[in-house]
Amino acid sequence: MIQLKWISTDWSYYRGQTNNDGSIFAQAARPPARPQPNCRDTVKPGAIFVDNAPGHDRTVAKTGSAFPITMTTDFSDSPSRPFPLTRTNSKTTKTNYIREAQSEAHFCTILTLMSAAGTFQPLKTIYWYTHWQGRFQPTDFSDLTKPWTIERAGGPHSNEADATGAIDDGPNDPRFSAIMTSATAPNCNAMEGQRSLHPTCTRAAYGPHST
Amino acid sequence: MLPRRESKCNFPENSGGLRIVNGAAPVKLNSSIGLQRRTNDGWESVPVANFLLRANCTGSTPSCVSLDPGAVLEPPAWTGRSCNSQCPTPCDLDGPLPPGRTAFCSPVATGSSPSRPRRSRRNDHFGDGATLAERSSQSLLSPSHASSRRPPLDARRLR
Repeated sequence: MIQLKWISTDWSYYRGQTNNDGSIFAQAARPPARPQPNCRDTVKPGAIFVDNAPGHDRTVAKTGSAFPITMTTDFSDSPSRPFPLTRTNSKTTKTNYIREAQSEAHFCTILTLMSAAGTFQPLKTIYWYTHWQGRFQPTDFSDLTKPWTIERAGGPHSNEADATGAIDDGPNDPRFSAIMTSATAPNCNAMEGQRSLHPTCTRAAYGPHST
Repeated sequence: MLPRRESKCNFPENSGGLRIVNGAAPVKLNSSIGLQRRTNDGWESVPVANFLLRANCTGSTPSCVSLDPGAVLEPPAWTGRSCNSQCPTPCDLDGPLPPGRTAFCSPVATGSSPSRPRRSRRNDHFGDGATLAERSSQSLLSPSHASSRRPPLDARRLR
């Protein structure tokens, strides 16, 4: 399988305990935090085939095997998005607490053959996505290990996952074909790691408080 | 020659945990911990990301970690996953690695001691038989039973 990512949404909003503690908006899915929208999804950067289930994620036909050859691949994925519970507002020097976050990821996953000569032949494609959006409120600002109040936010499709049926052949949209087997395709996990460390933060010295 | 006292690895109670005790000369290790899994044909490398020799999940981790004689390092345990493998990390492609026998590996940094392969009576395995010194890469710390179901760890000698 080859997996590509083509839509990313990742923002979070923090606010202080009082209005004067300020607020922060952290954007992690747009430049400069995320300079490129599309990427290829492998655990090992530079790999082409999905590699998160060694021994199960591909079948390699042995030389000389008689036809017909049954080839299987097991595919599963569990994207994740941690957000820090707090950020320090540099304008107010106060702690701001996460209030709301939204994360969306859309993928194109392609069942593909590769010949011994390295020629790829896409067979089937599915498109799938995960959406999350929630609001958060500490019950005790002095002890954040105590339970938080969490509620789903957004519209009817803001907290769901879904997938298309299998579509014949591979994608021909240049957003996908350009990075499907390219040696220079960005790695999705590496990009996620980088952008989470360095989101673009917009800070306000005064904002709606959390209590 | 290596000092008689050698570095040791042992396992804390939590499955996927690892504790390194350097009883030998100062050593510098690549902070990226690799995984190998046991197959019918021997040992093969398994892709894993974000699994590092670090004291905790805060701050950044340098590319190499130095251990003085007597130093103890107990990184946060491996979660059994391929990307969100140790500390909370955003991942697009992730999942539990299939059940099986897994070894932790950490390359000895070039130019660092020990200069000869380490032979221990337990906990070591050498994959395809290459020694630490010849492979400049894989300094295999210790085997571990690790799976998504987290069976008990087994530090039995493999070779």
